[in-house]
Amino acid sequence: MIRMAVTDLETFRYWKANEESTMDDLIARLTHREVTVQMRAGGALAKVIEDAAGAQVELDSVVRDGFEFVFDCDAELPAEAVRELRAERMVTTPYGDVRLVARCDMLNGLTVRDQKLTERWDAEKYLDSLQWRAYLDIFDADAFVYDVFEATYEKGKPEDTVTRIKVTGFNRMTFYRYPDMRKDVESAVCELAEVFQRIGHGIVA
Amino acid sequence: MPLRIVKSIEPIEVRTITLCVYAPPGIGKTSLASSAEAPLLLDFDAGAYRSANRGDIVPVSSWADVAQIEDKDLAPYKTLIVDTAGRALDALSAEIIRTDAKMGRGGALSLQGYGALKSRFITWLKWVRSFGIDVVLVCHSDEQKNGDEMVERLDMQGGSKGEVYKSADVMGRLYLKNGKRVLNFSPTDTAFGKNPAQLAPIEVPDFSVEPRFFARVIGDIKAHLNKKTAEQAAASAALEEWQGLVGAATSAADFDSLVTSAAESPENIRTNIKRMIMAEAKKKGFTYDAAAKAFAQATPAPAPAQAAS
Repeated sequence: MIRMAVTDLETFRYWKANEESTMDDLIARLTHREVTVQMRAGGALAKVIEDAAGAQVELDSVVRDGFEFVFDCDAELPAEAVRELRAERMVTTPYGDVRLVARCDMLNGLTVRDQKLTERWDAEKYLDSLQWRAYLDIFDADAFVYDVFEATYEKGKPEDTVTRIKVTGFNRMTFYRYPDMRKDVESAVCELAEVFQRIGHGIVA
Repeated sequence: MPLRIVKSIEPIEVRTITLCVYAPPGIGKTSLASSAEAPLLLDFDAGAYRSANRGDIVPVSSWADVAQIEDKDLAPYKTLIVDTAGRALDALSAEIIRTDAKMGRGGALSLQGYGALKSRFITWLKWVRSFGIDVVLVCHSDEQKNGDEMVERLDMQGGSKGEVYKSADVMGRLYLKNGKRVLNFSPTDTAFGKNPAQLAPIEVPDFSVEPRFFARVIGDIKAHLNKKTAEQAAASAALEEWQGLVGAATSAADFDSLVTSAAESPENIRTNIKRMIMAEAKKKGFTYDAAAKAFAQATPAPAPAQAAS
């Protein structure tokens, strides 16, 4: 059996869209995931939101895990959501069964929500994404909402222990399930399963 | 300007929507949009004369022509067509630079100017929708290279297209297939789409046979959205209740009981409820014996799980 994360599908899609990328680049990205400052900051912001745990809160600034977030924009998220829910779905492919796994930031009724922290808002990146398609399928949801925080990282002094992040913009985009969406997800899983099998990645008992 | 985490408000009836229809020039976008209910067309592109079934038209030469639209202007209409959204944004860009030179650089918008463009366009859209009308954003498309594929994208300047993608509740493309015009709201490998009503591709009829074709489609989409809004509200309330029940469980018997009750929960949230129960039980040190269909206290307590995605 192959274990595949939805993140892997996105890595594969980016790789395919970049003509310059080689198979070695793809293998490196799939097997050695470097944790960047941006990823750590995204994780810290997710914890800030998770910390609310159903309560109504209003934050102008907050410090979490070495980052200070200063909110210089209006952003609103629902309080009553299930957080960090994991799910999986089995997909049968010619290269073996694939356990496609996901973890959503929020599940609010029939809506999956995902929070992103980015330095540059690029709507087309989200339109193209396989993430919302796969999550809608795996979580049996009708709608997927990206809550995208635009931020700038402020340069601090070397002795600073906290990285200051100014959140300057908030963009919301909603996507919906559509006929044949599952087929699109399975097709991408199948294509990547062939790569996984070829490089011996993600094979589990 | 803070980050607010708030209780969701009650579901609101979807009365008006913003749609984006895109296609290469000459396919019939304006004619399609003009088959909406009681349309008023803002002709930024000076191309409405080509439409066979056009209704009332406002020729627009500058943003000032539309900036002061009032509810009495739109009272006789149910649909406002912006034709094309790309040219509308060009007109708004010119207006922004004309009124504040700092917003432009070499005839184009500066970074600050783009910020103003986004903000003013969204504000204007909200303003016209507040008059209780649907908005149809007509857009030209072009083909761009993406890896080995040619993909269809909206043909409009820089970051402003992001505002159209964001503000459109529904996005569909019009294309020719076997000599017939087809409207498809579903995304594909090479084209964007937003299809909240999960409509199959629709063959566009001759407008002399069905002059209000797009009115029917928009009506179907709104009816579906309203049905889904109600389902979403019910599912949200049910999941919140289950979250409380699951959080309060402390023994294997509690979790067994929750699994039994979950089997009776609404089908559209049942799987996720079971996932919530399993996750909470695991967090509290219980394992599920699938053969016995019962939870048991695990010893020792499990290590924190690895991130999935």
